[in-house]
Amino acid sequence: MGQITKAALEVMGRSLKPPASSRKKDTRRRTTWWVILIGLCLSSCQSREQNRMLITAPVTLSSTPLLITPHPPLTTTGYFTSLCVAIPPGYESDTKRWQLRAPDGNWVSIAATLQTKSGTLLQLDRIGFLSGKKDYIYLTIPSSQEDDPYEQLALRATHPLETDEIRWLSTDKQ
Amino acid sequence: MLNDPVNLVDPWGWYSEVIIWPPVGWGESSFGHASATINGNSYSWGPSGMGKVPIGDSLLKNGFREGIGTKLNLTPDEERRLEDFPKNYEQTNKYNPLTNKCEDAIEQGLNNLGHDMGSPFFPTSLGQSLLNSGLNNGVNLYPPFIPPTGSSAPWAK
Repeated sequence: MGQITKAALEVMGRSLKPPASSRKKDTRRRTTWWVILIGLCLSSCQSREQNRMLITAPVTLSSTPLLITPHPPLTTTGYFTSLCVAIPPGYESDTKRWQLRAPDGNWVSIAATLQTKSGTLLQLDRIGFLSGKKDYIYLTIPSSQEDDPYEQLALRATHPLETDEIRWLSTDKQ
Repeated sequence: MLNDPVNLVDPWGWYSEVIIWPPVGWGESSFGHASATINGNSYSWGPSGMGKVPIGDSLLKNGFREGIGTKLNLTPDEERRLEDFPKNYEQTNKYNPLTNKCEDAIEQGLNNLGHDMGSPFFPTSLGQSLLNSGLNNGVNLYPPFIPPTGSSAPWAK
């Protein structure tokens, strides 16, 4: 009886075994997945992303510049760098005016001045919005020279804007 | 517009476009990137969420690499619906590098309009699907104008 079962399983196994061409395809597919997996691991190890929290407690931005002196100075490690300011609840981002609409109806915009180690000043006013776990209004940062990082930044808003987070994001992924 | 300039007017005079950007760097972008331009704004889905900038700023930021844009053959109503899509997408989706791709938002936005793009695995596959689809209304090339900085993964070359 045992022999019959064994023989039956062998026959089934043989009939279930895919033809050689299909097996070759499977191997190729498996290899592709391995290459992708290894690629993902390598890319995460080598990621140039820099995500630095500069302010994590509530602050009010206004026409008086908020001075931030980060230690160590800020660098642009990725292709895309931005200075992100969390949008408080009740504010709406407007993608025609590229400003925030405050609950009181005022339009609010932000701007910043960056100072490099060598003393060069950069005015930033190119606005973007980022929506994910949190909503941000951000300023686009141009690439810095490796030996001349950003030492100080002065951030201001056209109307008072209370935010609880300001962060520096430099990444290769837009 | 659509041979009916009296009743069908594109108020902004913009067209919608999907731009495929070649692989750069080491992170997820080393597999390429896709962004959508709708009525002068650029929408880009990535690990940090849905990014929105004026198209001019997006082209400036991407000036280190060549983009290939496919202009989309959409009706004004489809364009309006596509523009609304990223606003809702960011609220219901979280980016996960293992399960999401940057082209997901565009692919689903077009899918909602009844244009099935299949399930392209890489941004360049989405670009190919668009080029071969009825949505293709011409191609724009965005040549690089600033030298790239930093290194890129071997598979990004």
